[in-house]
Amino acid sequence: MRVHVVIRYIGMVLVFLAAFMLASAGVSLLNNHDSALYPLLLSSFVTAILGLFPLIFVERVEEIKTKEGYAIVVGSWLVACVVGMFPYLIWGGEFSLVNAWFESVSGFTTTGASILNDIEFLPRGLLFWRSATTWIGGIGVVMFALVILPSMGRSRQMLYNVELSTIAKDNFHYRSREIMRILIFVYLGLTLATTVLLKLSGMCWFDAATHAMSACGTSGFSTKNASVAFFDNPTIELVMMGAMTLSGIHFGVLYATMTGRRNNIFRSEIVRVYVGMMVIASLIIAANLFSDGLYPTFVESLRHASFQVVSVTTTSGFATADTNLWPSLAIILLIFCSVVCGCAGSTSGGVKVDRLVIAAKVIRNRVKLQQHPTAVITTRTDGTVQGDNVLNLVLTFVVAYILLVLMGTIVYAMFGCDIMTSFTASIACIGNVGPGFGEVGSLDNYSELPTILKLNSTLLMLVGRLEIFGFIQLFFLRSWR
Amino acid sequence: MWKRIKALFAVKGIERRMRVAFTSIVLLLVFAGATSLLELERVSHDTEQILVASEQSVDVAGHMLAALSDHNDAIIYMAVVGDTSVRYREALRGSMLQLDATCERANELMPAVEHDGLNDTLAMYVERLNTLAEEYLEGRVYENVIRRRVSDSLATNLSTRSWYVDEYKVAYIDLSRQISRYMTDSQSVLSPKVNHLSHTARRSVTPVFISLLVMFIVVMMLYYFLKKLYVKPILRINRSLGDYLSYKVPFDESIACGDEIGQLRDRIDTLITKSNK
Repeated sequence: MRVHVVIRYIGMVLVFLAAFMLASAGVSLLNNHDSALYPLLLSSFVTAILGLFPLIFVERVEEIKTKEGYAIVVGSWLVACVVGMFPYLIWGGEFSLVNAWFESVSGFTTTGASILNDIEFLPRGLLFWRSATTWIGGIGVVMFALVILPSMGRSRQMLYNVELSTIAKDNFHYRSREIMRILIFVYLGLTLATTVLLKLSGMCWFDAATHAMSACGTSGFSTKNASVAFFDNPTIELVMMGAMTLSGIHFGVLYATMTGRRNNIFRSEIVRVYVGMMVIASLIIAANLFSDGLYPTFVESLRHASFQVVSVTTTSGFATADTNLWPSLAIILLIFCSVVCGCAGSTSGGVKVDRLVIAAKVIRNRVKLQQHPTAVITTRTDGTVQGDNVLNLVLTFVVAYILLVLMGTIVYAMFGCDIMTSFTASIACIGNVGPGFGEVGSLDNYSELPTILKLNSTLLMLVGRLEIFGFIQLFFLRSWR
Repeated sequence: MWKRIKALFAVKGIERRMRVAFTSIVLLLVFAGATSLLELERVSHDTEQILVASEQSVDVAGHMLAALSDHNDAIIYMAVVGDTSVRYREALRGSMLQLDATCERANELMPAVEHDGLNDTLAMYVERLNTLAEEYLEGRVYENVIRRRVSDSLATNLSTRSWYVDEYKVAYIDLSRQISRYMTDSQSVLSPKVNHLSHTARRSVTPVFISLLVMFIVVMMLYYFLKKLYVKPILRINRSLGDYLSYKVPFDESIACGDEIGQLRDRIDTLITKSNK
């Protein structure tokens, strides 16, 4: 592996991050030179030097190898998380070393979990940076490196294969260069549209922009302590739900829909399951909440139920209600949604609907094969026959995911968390959802967890964001020779 | 100046890289140094402010107590001992002015927002004591006391001494208590500032630490790049050239780089080809 090539590409990501830090410093400047200006400028300076250094020394390469691609993706994510905590650390407040690391990892992995007890105390510049990390994380740090990458062709595709799951890659029927354009178009367009709609719904420009970035990155970072519940505005909730739902759909499918192509959201089986799952869960939970008398009307119940379902399924984690107070059925359904999550090729995490659909079809086919042992049965999604390799990958991933959730639960429980907190925190971190139940409920945060569990949470977030195997492969790069 | 800076980076290839690399390191060093100096300056300034505030509040409280003592002495001489000479009247007036001035200064030093009601109470007690003294000086003590105690059976036994005990001494004790409270409160107001200072002192090291960490990484990268991109290729070219000269092994070094190292390889190759002809 050519380490210097890997360092060069990571350097490009750092330069990009430095530019975002500078933009956040600009926000700080616009807000009467708030206390985040100095930390953001300092961080931007050191990050830029760190990123530019390899660019000066290492010449651009036309082609990168698979293992280099993996190293660039994982390395970029880890380095982004490290430099991302510089502004927090320099600013101070509630940010100790571990807390700053947690907030940074939570941002870049689009988890949206926080250790902050008083978010509103943060200066606007820092709040903007916090939302920016989730926005950058949403599209993938590597994606940005590739956009500004002068070398075209195979290198891009190679990196992108790692960034998205195998299934997501299969769903793209475009050339690699076109994929980049599609993603930028969809992501930027969605963010801008959400910002404008949120502004029209009653938010100020700053809140609208930060919430739009969080919603499109499916992270759930809010600028208010009470999250979206602070606004208590059904229009805002509706806009947010729309943005989150769209961000949870494969970007290629969104692009196809916008450009009038055939493989659009109305024809996609995966999108149908995704939307259907959310609608059914919302209705059941709303009925459950209404029958339990938590809300005076069914409409009110449906409002809160649908927002929480969309928020959890898309792995955003915004909140309009304290779900800890909800009945068991509602909690179980929300946990199910936070395991399945959105579609592959989107900014959401978790197992993903695509895998759920394939796994369900594999089970169905297994039953059929038992009835007709000589039958030749293929598994199709959206009309595409999935090979044995894909089916194996899906099942292996699901098993690995379950094992990881169980291991995470054990670690949380070992350090004194109750079973509900342990299990849901583990799911919320691996699936990059953010809030769970118990001590880490929708209106709570991770500040009360001991240091070791905060570190454990960040590890789970990284493993989940890099689709488990993307992270594990980093430790076996030498064996690829 | 700008031309000089431009000239510094005008050269290309290895030389430019070296210049940029060392400039980066120097910049980071200067940056770390400047940041630490600025932060130290800030911490030192904050510490000085706290010390000055502490000294000033103690000083004001001391002056207030001294003025109160003079006030009391003058009243005792006049109302209790019965010596109403000009000397004590002037001393009383002087101490009244002194009390007013120190009270005002105390208000300036400790903004009302930091301690609810303390400044108002202090001003109120000073005013009350000074009003009593003023009444005494103007000879309105008897009238006032009689008016206040019109139903009291002891009204006929009124004297300035009883006025001192019943009226003045109470106000005097109240004010001295208030000054004590001011002294303790002004120090407790500084406590969170000291805590904040200790907190920021720790934080002020962070940017320096981060700069040094980044510089360390940059130096490590520089070492790696120098070794990987320059030292190793030169050694390989040297070995290959040595092999060619000693054993006539064909000079075949494949170095994929467009800088001076690549040019050196190409020129050696050309030289060998020409010498073979």
